Amino acid sequence: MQANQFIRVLKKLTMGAGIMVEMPFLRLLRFVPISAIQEMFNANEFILEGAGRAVEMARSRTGESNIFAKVIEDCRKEGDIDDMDVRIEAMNIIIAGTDTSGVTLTYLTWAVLQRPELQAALEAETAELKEGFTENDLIDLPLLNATIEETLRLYGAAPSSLPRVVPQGGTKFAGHYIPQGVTVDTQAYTFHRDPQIWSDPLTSVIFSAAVPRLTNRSFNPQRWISSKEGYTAEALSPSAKTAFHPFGAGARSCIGIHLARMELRYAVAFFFRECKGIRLAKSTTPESMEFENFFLIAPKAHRCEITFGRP
Amino acid sequence: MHQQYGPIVRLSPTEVGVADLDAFKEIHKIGTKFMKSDWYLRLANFPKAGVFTMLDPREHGPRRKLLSRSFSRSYLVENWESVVREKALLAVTKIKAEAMQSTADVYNWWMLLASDVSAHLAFGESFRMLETGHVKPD
Repeated sequence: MQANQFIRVLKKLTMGAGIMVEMPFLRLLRFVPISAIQEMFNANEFILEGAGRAVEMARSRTGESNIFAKVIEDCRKEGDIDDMDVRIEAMNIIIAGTDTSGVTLTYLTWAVLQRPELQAALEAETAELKEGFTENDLIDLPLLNATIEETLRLYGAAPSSLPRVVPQGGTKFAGHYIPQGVTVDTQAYTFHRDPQIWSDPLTSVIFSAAVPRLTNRSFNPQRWISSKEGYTAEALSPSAKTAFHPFGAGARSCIGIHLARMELRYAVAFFFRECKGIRLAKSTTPESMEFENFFLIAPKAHRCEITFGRP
Repeated sequence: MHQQYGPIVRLSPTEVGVADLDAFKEIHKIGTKFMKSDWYLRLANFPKAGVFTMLDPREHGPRRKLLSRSFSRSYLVENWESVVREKALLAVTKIKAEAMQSTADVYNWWMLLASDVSAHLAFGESFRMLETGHVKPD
């Protein structure tokens, strides 16, 4: 299998899956004899085949190990998981771990580069790191982590509905009776922008005549930082803590949360250490970065260009 | 929508939008009786249910527990931190070089970083997309 082809399919997979759920009639498209479209809608079968590799690697003692080596070993002792299960979970990791982190990092880059003061402060904070820094050193950087959290608030990659079914006996929410069997949807998008929880919660871009200029302060990492004098950050209030769920909530929340945060911290730290003074390219605009939402979000233009040269 | 109609909005005869914090807690708390809907089965159309799509908590619980160990922070720090660090640095090096030449597309590079990291964890070998650079069009 060609890794290139594999990745191309992956890039289309989440979109294909999202479209299929939201617009079931489009399932018919998979019969259209255009290879790109077929690839998109048949991506699952394709990837399943490739994921057989995960089983092979995990079972072979010679190759590099993957996380399933441990899983399979644990399973011998207690419970069962067959090869198909491993394939499916390997796919889950790829699907859940690729667009999510990639998109979040893209929006973080975009949000910060629009704010030169914030960018300079992050460059200063990360410049202080010693050469062989570890994730534990990064956890101690207040602005780096606040910027990541603020990105997850406004641009977390999965802000859409998490449908759940009302259990037997029905339920009562805010005075409304909802019968059993009804689907209830909660969205991070809504809770992360609730003005009763977050001050100045929304992003809005205002254009002046010539140059697009951001006049809002809504992307504000400071809301995550408590002061030494005992002021508790807004984002750490009990209601904000409950409302904030970029990785979902409860037993079904994202299993990859620690991996995601590790990846985000390292990427952000290296980026602002190495790329001082980098700017958005002219092609990167509020329009090009508008959300496209098929369960996961992505920038509409499917690119976000930056440069050291003239923008 | 919720601004206009309030925290509980009926979207269709069988679907209700909820933006009430207490209701949110009730729905998503540990041990909740609110199960994932079969919408998830349609989202991930696999031959068997996995940790993401198992609707029944009695089925999901053991699978989640099994995978959780490999995703715990201590396990990741011990076994995978150097891989993540190395790939993040490589991505930034590539971005920097490209942005000095002309423009760098961070959406592309951050996606490649994320796919190399997840592939390395899931398969035990990286796709080495960061080394290769852009995903070639057809």
